[in-house]
Amino acid sequence: MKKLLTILVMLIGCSASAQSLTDHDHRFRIYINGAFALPVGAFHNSTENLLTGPAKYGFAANMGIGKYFGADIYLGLSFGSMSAKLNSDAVVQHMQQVLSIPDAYNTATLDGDKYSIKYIGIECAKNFRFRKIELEPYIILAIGGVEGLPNAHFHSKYKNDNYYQQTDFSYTNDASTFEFFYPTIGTRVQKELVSWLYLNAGLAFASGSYEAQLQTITTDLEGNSKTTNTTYRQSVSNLQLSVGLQFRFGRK
Amino acid sequence: MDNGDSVPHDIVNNELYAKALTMQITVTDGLSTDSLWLCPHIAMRSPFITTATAIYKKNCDDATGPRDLLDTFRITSNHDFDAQHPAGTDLQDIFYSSSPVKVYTGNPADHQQGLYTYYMRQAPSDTGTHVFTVTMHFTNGKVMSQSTSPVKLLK
Repeated sequence: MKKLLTILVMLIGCSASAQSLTDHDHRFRIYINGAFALPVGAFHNSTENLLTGPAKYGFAANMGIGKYFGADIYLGLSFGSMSAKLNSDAVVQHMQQVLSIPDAYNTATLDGDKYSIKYIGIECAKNFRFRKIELEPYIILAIGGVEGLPNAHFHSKYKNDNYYQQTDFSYTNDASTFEFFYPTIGTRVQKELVSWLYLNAGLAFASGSYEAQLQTITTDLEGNSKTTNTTYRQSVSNLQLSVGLQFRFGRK
Repeated sequence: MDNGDSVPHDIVNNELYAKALTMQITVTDGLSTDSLWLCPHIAMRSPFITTATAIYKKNCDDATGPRDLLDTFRITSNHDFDAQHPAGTDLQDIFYSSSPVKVYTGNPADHQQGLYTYYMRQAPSDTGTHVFTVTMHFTNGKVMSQSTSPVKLLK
């Protein structure tokens, strides 16, 4: 609710500065772009956890639809998805450091090395025109969701002994509890190809952190089992370099 | 088998650390001649396995009903294990198995063919060479047993 109120306040701010449509402007536009994402600071945890270490990189696809509100301001919806590749070596190394038992064969494994972040939000963009290009700073106030965080396993087999311990990590979040505030601030450079089609390139910073519920189940050779549940906050700040196309309609 | 390393392997030079000893017992309906076997209900109810049925008929007198119902199951050694386990006593309590062999209690599910794995969880009082023997007594009086090669258990 607090997040929605924040979005509404920002929208009112954008609308308040809106003025009348000029001859140069279009009423509507749709853009689509692809982006390469790099971690900023780190995708990794802001608190101690065992599964998600730093991401190496991500690929994103973003789409938006906007309506002109005057004063070179566009307001609209934006949505997209990013697939992030975890630095699985770092995750495994971290697990080895934290969980290893002396005099045992310790093995850490991840079920995968990717997860995705999806978002939908409201975008406010201000267009500045120069002779051949346009510069367009924008802000997206979005709700994000994380999917597909990989499970992990840690196996300790004692040396010269049958005894072993197996620890399995998995997420118990349902989709709704993964939602988090995921704003983006960025700017695009746009060049007109034809009157209704623009090429754009951009740089954006997206940031947020979600609360993950991690379930840890430890079993051993003799069938003993222990389950613990922990919650931690995970940061997903990233810098996105994008290229794409923008289609404009309703030129006046 | 020797389970002292990251994965189990065959015992080398007939010696290993006692708590790394893993014993695998295969119970079949007679398909494998070098394994312990019995004639469970489950074999009788698998008419599509004609070979198994034929061997069952060969090994069991009566193919129309369950035979060789397991009455007792024991694991013993020819050597004293510790003060509580002199030679010849049942050693099942020093092994752990997530799915042990079950004696027949009237439920057909008690007679399961398969691979049973027993992990030694306790070291003997002294290093010594043991020959382990698995013995199955059936309600019809039949007795079957199979022994391991001599194996030296290190403390």
